[in-house]
Amino acid sequence: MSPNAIVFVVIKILVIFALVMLVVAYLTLLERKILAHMQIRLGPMFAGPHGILQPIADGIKLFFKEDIITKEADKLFYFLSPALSIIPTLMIFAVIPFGDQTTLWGLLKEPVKLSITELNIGLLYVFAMGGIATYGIVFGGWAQNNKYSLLGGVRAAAQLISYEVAFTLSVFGVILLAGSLNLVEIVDKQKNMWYIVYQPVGFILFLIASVAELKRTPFDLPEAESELVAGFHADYSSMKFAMFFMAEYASIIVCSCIGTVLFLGGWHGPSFLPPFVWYMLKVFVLMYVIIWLRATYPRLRYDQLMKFGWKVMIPLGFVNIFATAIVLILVK
Amino acid sequence: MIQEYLGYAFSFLAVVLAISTIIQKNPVYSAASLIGVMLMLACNYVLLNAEFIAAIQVIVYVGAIMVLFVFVIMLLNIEYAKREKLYYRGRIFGVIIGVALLLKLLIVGYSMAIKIQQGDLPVPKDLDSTKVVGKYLFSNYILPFEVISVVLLIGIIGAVVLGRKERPNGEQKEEVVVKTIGSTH
Amino acid sequence: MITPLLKGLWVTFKHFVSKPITVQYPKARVGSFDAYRGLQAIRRNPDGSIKCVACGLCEVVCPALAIRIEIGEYEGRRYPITYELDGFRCIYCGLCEDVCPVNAIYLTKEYENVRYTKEELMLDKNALLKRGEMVK
Repeated sequence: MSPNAIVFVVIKILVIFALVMLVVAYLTLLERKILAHMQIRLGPMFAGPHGILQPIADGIKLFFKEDIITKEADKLFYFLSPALSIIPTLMIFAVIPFGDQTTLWGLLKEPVKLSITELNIGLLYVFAMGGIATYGIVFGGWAQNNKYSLLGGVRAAAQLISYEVAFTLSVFGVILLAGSLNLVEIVDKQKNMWYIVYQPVGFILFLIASVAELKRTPFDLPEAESELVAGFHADYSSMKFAMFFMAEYASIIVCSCIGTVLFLGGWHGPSFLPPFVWYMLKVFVLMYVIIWLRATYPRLRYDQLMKFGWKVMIPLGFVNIFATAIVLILVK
Repeated sequence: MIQEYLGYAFSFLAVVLAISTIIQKNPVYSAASLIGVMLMLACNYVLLNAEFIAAIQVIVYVGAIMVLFVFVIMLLNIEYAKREKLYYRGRIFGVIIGVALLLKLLIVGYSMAIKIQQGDLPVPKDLDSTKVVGKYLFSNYILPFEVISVVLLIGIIGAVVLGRKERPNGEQKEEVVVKTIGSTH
Repeated sequence: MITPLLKGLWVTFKHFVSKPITVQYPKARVGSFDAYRGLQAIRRNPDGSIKCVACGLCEVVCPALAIRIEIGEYEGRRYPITYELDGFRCIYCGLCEDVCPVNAIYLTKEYENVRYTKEELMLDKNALLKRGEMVK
C-alpha cells in the first residue's frame, strides 16, 4: 500500500466518522421532531430556530454530567461495555458504500471510491460486527449489579439472538439474486431494478428484524422505561450513557444504509438528482420509517416478541429463501 | 512478513485468553475470555485468507453461541465456581490427558509440517473464499455435509424433546410436535 | 392482523402532516376562559378611595382563612386599616366576591401565580388596589 493510498483511507475514515457523528446528533433532533409532529406537538423550539441547536446543547449537558459508578458494579465491564457497544457499530461503516466513485467535481485526477474498503464478505462482516455489538448491552446490563439492568441485559441477549436469525434470513433472498456478498456488487446489480420489487417479503422481514435488532419500539423490551426504569443503561450517566446512546443511533444509520444498499438500489435512481443525494434520500426515508413505527405501535409483551420472532419471522424467512431459489432455478 | 508476526501475536493472545477462560473464578469473565479466544481465531482465519470462515466464526460463535452462554450464566445467576474442589477431583487424569494432547499436537505439528500456503485442493487465484467453500462443500464434500446436516437435525429434535415440558397424560403431545415443525400462525 | 397495523400508521401520518396545536407558552398565551377564578383584586371608588367598607363578611366567609381585616373608622365611614390576603392559603373559591355587598373585592382572570419569594403573594391593601388597576 502506497503512502498516498493510506492518506486517502485516513481521510475517508475521518470524513465518514465526522459525517456519522453529525447525523447521529441530528438524528436525535429529527426523531424528537417527527415524534412531536405525529403527536400534533412542535418538539424542541427554543435552542436556536426550530431547536436546531438542541443536539449541541444535549451534548454539552451530557459531557458535563457527573460520572457515577455504583459501589457494587463490576468495574472492568462497567468501563468496557459502552466502548464494546459503539466500536463494532462504527466499524460497520468501513464496508458500507456511500456511492460509486467520485472525482469531487474534477478536483482529483483519479476517481475515488466512496467506501472505506470493499470486502468480498461485506455483508457477513456487517452481521459479525452486529453480533459483537450485542455484548456491550449484555455485559453492560450485567456489570451494573442491579436487577433492572440485569433483566434488561438478559432480555437484550435473548431478543438479539432470536431476531438475528430472522435478520440474516431476510437478506438471503438478496444474496441469492445478486450472487455476491460484496455490497458494492449488490448495488451494481440493482442498476435496472431495485431488489425491493423482487423481494417485498424479504424487505418487510428485514425492516421488522432490524427494528428488533435496534431495540426500538415496539421491540424495546431491553430498555422498557415503564417497567425496567431504563433497562441495560439504568446506572450509566454522563459520557458512558452518551456512548450507548450514540451506538443506538449509529446502528439506526447502519440499518438504514444496509436496507438502502440491499433493497432500495443504493445510489441508483433517475438521473435528475446526483447519486449521493439519492442515497441520502433513501437512507433518510428508512430512518423516517423506523421513527414512524416508534410513534405508532405500543410495546410488545415479552412472550409475544418471542413467539413472533420464532413462529412468524423465521418460517417466513425460510419460505422466502425457498421461493426465491426455486424461481431463480426456473428462470435460469 | 508482518502477517506472520500478527499471526503469532493473535495465537499468543488466543492461548492467554484460553488459559484465562479456565482459571477465572467469575463465570462471566470466563465467558468473556472465551469470546476473546473466538475473536483471535477469527483474526487468524483472516490472515490465512479464509475471510468466509472468519466471518462465520464470529457470527456463529461470538454472535450466537456465546451470547447464549452469557445469557444462561446471567439468567441462572451462577455463584463463583468452587474451582479449588474441581482441581482436586480427578487431577491426575486431567494432567495425563492434557500432556498426551499436547504431545500429540507437537508431534503432528512437527512431523507433518503443516504449510499455510497450500492445502489438498487447488484454489484458483481470482476466486473468493466464499465461492471456493461453497463449490467444494456442494461437490467434493457433499456426503459429509449432508451427514452433518442430519446429525444437527437429530440434535435439534433431541433438544426439543428434552426441553419439552413433561405432561402427565399424553394428550397434548401431537400439538407440541406440530408447533416445533414451524406453523406460521 | 395487518389492516389495523396499517390503519395505525395512517393515523400517525395524518397527524404528522396536520398543523401542531402547541401554544409556545411564554411567547404566546391561550388566555383564561370566562368563568376563571384567579388571584383577587380590590376596586377603588371614583374618587380614588378604597371601595371596601370593612364589613368583614369576606373574612368570615373565607373557608381557607386567607383574609384578615383590621377595621377602622374615619368621619363615620368604616374602612379597612389593613386588608391582608394570603395568596398561598386562598383556594380561589370566589366566595369573597359573592358575599361582598359593595363589589369591592373580585377575582381576576390571571393564572400566572408563580412568584420568586413567599412574600410576593402575601398581598396587602395597597397591592390588592394596585392589582385592581393593572389586571382586568
